[in-house]
Amino acid sequence: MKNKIETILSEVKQKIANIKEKNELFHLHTEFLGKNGKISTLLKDLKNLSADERPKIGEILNKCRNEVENLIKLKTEEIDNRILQEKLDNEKIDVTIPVKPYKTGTAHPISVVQRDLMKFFESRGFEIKYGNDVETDYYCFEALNVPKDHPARDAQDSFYIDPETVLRTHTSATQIRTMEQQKPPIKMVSTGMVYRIDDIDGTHSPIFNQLEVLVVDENVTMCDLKGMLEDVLKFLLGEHTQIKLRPSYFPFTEPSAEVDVTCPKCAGKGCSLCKNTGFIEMLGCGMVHPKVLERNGIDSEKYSGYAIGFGLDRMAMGRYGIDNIREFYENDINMLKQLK
Amino acid sequence: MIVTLNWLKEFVELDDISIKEIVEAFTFAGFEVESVKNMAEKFDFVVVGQIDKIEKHPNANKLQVCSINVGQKENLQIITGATNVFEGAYIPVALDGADLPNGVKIKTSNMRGLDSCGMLCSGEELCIDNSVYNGAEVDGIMILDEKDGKIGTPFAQILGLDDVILDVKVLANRPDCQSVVGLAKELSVMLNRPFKKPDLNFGTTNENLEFYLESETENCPFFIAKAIKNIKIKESPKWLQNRLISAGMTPKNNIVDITNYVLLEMGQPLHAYDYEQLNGKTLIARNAVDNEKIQILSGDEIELNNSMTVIADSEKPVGLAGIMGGKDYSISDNTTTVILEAATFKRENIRRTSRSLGISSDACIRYGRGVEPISCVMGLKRALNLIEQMQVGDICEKTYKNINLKEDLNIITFNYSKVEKLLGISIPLEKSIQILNNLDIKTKVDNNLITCEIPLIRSDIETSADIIEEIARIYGFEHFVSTHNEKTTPLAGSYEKPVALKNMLDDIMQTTTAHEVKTFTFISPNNYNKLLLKEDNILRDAVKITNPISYDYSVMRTQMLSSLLEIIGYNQSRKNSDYAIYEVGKVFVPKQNDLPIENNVLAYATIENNADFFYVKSITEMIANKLGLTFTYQPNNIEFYHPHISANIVIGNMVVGTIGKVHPTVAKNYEINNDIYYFEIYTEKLPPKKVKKIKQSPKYPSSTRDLAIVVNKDVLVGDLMKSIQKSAGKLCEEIQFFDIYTGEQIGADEKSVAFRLIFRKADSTLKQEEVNESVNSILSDLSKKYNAKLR
Repeated sequence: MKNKIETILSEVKQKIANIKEKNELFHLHTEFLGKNGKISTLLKDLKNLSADERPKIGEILNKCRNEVENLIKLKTEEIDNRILQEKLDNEKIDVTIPVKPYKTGTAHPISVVQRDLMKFFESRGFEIKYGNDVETDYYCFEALNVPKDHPARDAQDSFYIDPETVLRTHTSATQIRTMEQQKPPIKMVSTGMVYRIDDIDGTHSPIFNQLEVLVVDENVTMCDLKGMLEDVLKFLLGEHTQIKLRPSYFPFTEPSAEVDVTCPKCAGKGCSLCKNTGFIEMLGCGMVHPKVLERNGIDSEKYSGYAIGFGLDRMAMGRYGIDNIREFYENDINMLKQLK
Repeated sequence: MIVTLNWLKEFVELDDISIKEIVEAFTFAGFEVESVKNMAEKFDFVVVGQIDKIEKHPNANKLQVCSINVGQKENLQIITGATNVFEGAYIPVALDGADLPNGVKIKTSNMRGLDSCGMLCSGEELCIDNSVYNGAEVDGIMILDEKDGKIGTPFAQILGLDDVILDVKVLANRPDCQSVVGLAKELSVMLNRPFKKPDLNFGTTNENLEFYLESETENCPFFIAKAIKNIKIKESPKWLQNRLISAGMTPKNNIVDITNYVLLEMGQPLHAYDYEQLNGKTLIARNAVDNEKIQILSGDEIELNNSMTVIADSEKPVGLAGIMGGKDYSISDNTTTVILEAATFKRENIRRTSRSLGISSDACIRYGRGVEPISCVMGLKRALNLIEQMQVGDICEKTYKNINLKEDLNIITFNYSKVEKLLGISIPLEKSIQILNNLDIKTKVDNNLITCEIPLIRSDIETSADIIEEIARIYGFEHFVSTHNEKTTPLAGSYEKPVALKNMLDDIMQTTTAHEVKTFTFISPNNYNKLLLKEDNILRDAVKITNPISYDYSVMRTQMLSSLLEIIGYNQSRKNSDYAIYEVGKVFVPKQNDLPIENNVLAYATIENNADFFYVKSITEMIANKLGLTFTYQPNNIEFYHPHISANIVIGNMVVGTIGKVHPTVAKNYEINNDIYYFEIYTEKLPPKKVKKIKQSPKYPSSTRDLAIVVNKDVLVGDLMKSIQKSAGKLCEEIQFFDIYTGEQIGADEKSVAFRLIFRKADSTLKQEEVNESVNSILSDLSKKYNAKLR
């Protein structure tokens, strides 16, 4: 019996070595481990052995069965692995074949800049508003220290709906409404479309977009204004950005300043864009004129404030290297889809 | 404002300072320099030379070898082919390195075996004619008058062109700086150098004229004039002509040139009238009479109205006040007596007149910004000083004037601590006093109180804030240090509702394939017809702009569709296809006696190849999901949609938007050939975003039934679903529509609609009887309401 077992084992080993396919393995399993298989038959024959021999041979036979089962299992895995490998090999692709990117929508360049600034100021405690595009003459001019005969009105030739109603020339009107309704401390941003009579050309558009910042509180100084400018412009244009203030004039701020920043094209080295000065004009700002505060019932002895005005179109032109403002309102899909 | 360096130098010492430093000083005083033009540049390396000796060229018959003295140690050898040269002649010499105005570059070269170290120049080669230098058009080399300049003098100086022209931007609050003296004053303060005042002295004869002057209008509160007799009209001296030419003006004659010179130098418009031509020997400032006419200097005849101001004699207008003189009264060669007038006018009156007539002038620009009475007096005096200097005529003693205003000195007192409180930096008091005094602001200091007396010419300084600005400006903005709102109150940031909503919709829309666009909010009224709007459609009732740039941009839009269609039309013309666009933009609804209502609308349009109604509806459904809302869709009847492919988007009973296929005629009106699917959502009407509770995963199995129901073709699937929902009761968890069939197997006017109903109980396993009961009730209700049969 012992010999028989060994013969069976070597027979299995020999056969299994030549097996390539799973069905052969199945046959092998049946031949040896099936109901009437060679090992199963021997197991049945065990009862014919003496009580003495039975445990000994039984142990050997069990060992043999385990070994055969194990061999079949190993062979199964081997074949499975081979089949899988063949399948994977058949699935080989050329990963360098180009594809059309997954389509998603895009934001308009002006919206991108606007949203960036909104996020910055919202995180700094500002309330963000749109306000009305159609405004009264009072909120757009009078309350901002620009009376009817003021020459500053010429620079901002306005569209009129009727003698007392205009399309806002700046978003500052919303700041006045806020000051009227709200006591200091005030931190707010007004943003949206503004309108000035201008023919449409490369750098002018009768409609463009602004974002204006207003702070009114106790102890607000021009140095605070400079600090805020530095923070926001570094956030927007990069840590290397330097700023320079130079005097200017706006009727609603005093002192008023233009802010020049490190030229984004040459990083300050000097190029055609900055006319070799290393700086380009970025925005206007100033300390809120006491007359504007007083007119809105804010004590200018106690409170002071600053205002900053961003021209979003121009900033977007700078950021995306667009040199014709018209492109923003023509909305050529080829331009729009480049933005992500 | 154009100023020249030499002109500025008359009032400030600038010889030791570079143009770059001057530009910087202007810039940091708040006067941007927009351009710098060196007049002499084109004559660099061209100097005055004298011919010492002329010899024949040994190797060429037609050439002469000249030995030229250009003021250097050794004479230069220059070869010329010109025949008009002679020994001792003064001539313009282009040296090695010169880049002549005619484009020729001069280099030492060999001519037939001899070196020629430059070139003797003709007027033609220097691009100048007799009007620039008498004799420049001679055939051959220009022969210079030896009185004009020593040997070695730069040629530009001979022409009076050794000057630098600066174009300085003057801000609206500084009309006083629309002048050479005003800018020179600023420069003197920035550079902390003394300011030399212009010479205003003149003498008079005791002869007088019969003349009457009056202002009858409040638009001219200050009106003065002087008479000048025995005038000899002739050309102005070269130096004065050159100044005017540099500033872009054309010299005419001595009187007119003087008024223009004073306009530039003092910023004061003056007007000279030929006394003999004045009827009644009278000048009156008055409002024009309606339909009155005047022929102005430019030759145009203009019809006036009562809102305009004129200067008139006893019969008719002789000038359009502050803008332009009348043609018949201008100075001619025969003029012998002149009335020289200066006035102030209300700036808004001048601006309005100028704008309504479309006429402007240098005077008009200055008056539009505001001219102070003190400037009239100084300007007139300066003109009289020049008349005397140039011996143009005799100034009569009497000053004719009509003054209807009182000018008080503005005195401002404030606490000096305000400076630091506002600026955040401390500036030493002495420094501030020095700055103010340099600006001609007289100061008195009493403890911390500082009292300032503002010069009349600085009407822009009204309050202490203006004075602090002057101090800061001159002290220098570069001294500000950055602080970071440390002392202000901390606040929480927020977005107002429409802003938050747009941001949210942007985020949602950009997960679709749509590109955000930005379009003008004013549009053409032509769009109403292009959109096929009926005559009584309220969308035609728009806010109108009274002064649009053109008809195409003349009304505020009441709908978004036309804006998007124009963008698609534009892209079609550029052969762009297969895309979707959207915008969250404003529409404007007029309101009686109030500002219009401004609504934000989300509008979306697609011409993607795979688009159809249901594709677009899947986007509105996605939006509803994201906002936690449920939209229903009701067929509508809006002109610009396909009559059978459009719907209102409804929440409860409120229409919050519309959706559909754009009517093919509308598309054609915008030159679009493709099918366009569009929706718009009125964002203000959307209820606030709700946070939906998350349902627990079901514990018990569901039971599914498919129903195919045959109904009349016109029955809406939405209505069937509503009925099923109502009849099904609580057990029905979900109703899915999955198929619609029309065809041979059913009647011609019938359709079969297939639904899958999913039933489930939250607390136990469903029994078949329960489901059957629910299905029976569904079917019986459908049969009653819609005559529906189970297929």
